[in-house]
Amino acid sequence: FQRAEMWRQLLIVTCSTYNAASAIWLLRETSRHIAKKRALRYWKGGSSEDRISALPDDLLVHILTFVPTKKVGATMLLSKRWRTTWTMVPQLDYRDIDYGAIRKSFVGGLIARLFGKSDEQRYRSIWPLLDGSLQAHKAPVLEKLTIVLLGPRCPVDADMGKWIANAVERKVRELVFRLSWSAGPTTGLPKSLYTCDTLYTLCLRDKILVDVPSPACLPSLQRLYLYSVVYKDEDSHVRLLSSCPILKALYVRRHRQDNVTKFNIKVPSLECLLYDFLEFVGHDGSLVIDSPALKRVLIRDYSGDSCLIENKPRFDKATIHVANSYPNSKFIKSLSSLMHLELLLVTPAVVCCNAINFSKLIDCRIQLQNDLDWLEPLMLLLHNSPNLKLLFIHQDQPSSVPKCLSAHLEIFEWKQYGGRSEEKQVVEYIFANSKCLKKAGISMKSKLRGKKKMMKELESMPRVSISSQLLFSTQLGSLTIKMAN
Amino acid sequence: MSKKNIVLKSSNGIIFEVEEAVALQSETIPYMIEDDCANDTIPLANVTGDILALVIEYCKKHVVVADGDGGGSSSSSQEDLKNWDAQFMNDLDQSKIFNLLLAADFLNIKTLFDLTCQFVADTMIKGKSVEEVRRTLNIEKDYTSEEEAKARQENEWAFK
Repeated sequence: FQRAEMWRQLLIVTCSTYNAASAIWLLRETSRHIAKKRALRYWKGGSSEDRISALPDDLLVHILTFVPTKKVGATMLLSKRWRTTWTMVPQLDYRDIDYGAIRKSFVGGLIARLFGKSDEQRYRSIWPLLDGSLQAHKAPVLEKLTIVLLGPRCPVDADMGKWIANAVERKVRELVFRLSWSAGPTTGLPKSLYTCDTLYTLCLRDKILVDVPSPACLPSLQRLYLYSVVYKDEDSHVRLLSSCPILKALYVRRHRQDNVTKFNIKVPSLECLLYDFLEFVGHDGSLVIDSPALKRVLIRDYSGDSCLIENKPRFDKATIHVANSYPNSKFIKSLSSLMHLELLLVTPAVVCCNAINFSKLIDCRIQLQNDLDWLEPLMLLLHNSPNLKLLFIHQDQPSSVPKCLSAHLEIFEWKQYGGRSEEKQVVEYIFANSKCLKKAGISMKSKLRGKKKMMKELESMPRVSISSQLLFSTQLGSLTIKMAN
Repeated sequence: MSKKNIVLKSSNGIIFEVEEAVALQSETIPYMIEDDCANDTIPLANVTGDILALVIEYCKKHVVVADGDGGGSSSSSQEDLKNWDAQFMNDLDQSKIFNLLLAADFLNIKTLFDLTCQFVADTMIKGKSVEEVRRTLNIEKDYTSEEEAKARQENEWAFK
């Protein structure tokens, strides 16, 4: 009856501030429900035989792979049969829990109120569990190890390198390692990681220092994720990539302080590339892609770096959002083999539409930029794509909206509004496009009929700035035009 | 064109005739066909009739049907299959679940094996205290109280 008791206590805590009568009712219903469920389970159980403990070890271990890592260690207490079984589970997954994210949900909010979690307690560190359980864990092969550490800082006694090296010794195939301490140091990884011959997937993220020794060799690595990491020097990423002879997929997300200006991707086996550099940097950096087997690319580069493509890859599918500079002519030629294209149509991209014959293109998605006269390039692109089957155009807002409306306009006032259809259209347009609008004031012509109806009409017009106020002539005295400095 | 059928015989002598595509979801059966090509009936010494019937019910539901137009398509949508799987498992008692798990392992039907293992983990282990798991699965506690206390103390990390 432990569970029933627990429920009862939880309900008492929850309901004490509310209606006592409804609490008692809820309590009785819950007890009944639990009793009924238990009876059913016993009936369904049939015999009282212990079937699970009689299973061979490998089956028991497989069942335990579906149990969360933070619970799996506790199964050692079930009976002597189970004491070491959990230590053979080949997949371990440790993630700090961010209560901040959970609190946004209703249940999370309730828990936070009940236990009075402060912001300092927002994260519950998985470190003691990780350290303790990995010391006891014995599986000769660790297929997958996931470590996600969030929170403000590194636990005092944390030695990450030890466990990464341990995973390498145990022939790890998939390693996910994310350090996102807001105040923690950037952490290096043990050298043995870079010569691990079993590693198939490697994902490194955030405060990790990529310092690749020479020689390095990752002969089985097929998928590599480098998300917002820091590189020891300009050549670290080059050494890393050149040590992966069969790498198929590379996912890179860069940031301004990653110590690299020239990012070279020279991987002959590479088939799929995702490259994100979403900050504007403006220095003389570059992206050079020299991977002739590439079939699918997704490049979102707003950094202003130049983008060069060597060795004429023939892409099947490309998403190209390059805003501040533009790929060279070789890049553009490599687009001619595309079957699927997603393009951010900025001024330099117009060259693509003009110069390339997209003879294989069947699926094209275009994202329009506001300040570009896009009709002509679009027509050229259609003209050059004889086999196109799907055309998808995405536009954030009408291209002709003046910048002031989308970025600055806060106050709009109209005196002697007459309510004619063209006047209505103007108001509708301003309401629909002025994102920063705070106040709109409209005073009607004094001899106008049907003022109330007109006011209702104006009130019902959709305003993109939801927080904006609409005031009419009688209230206009309060509308003082006062610009913020 | 008539479809080829395969005859399976359970440990207690019950005969099931199923379409080849249904039976071939088991990765064990093809080897048995090769080894035993003179005989039409494949004997499954480890699986009783009631469990084999369940396995076949599962395989029939999950068979990928080659339709008339030449393309292959599953007989149901993924969503439907998931709901069907959940209902299928929910209707079984614990003894049948473990027999089915063993049969899926022996016949090497990966999806059914994972389904049964996941079901055991989800409904009998996850979210339960040690005592509740013992009760649910009829596991006898053979630790003395001292041994249990010692194990708890030594592995404090596991019980936080």
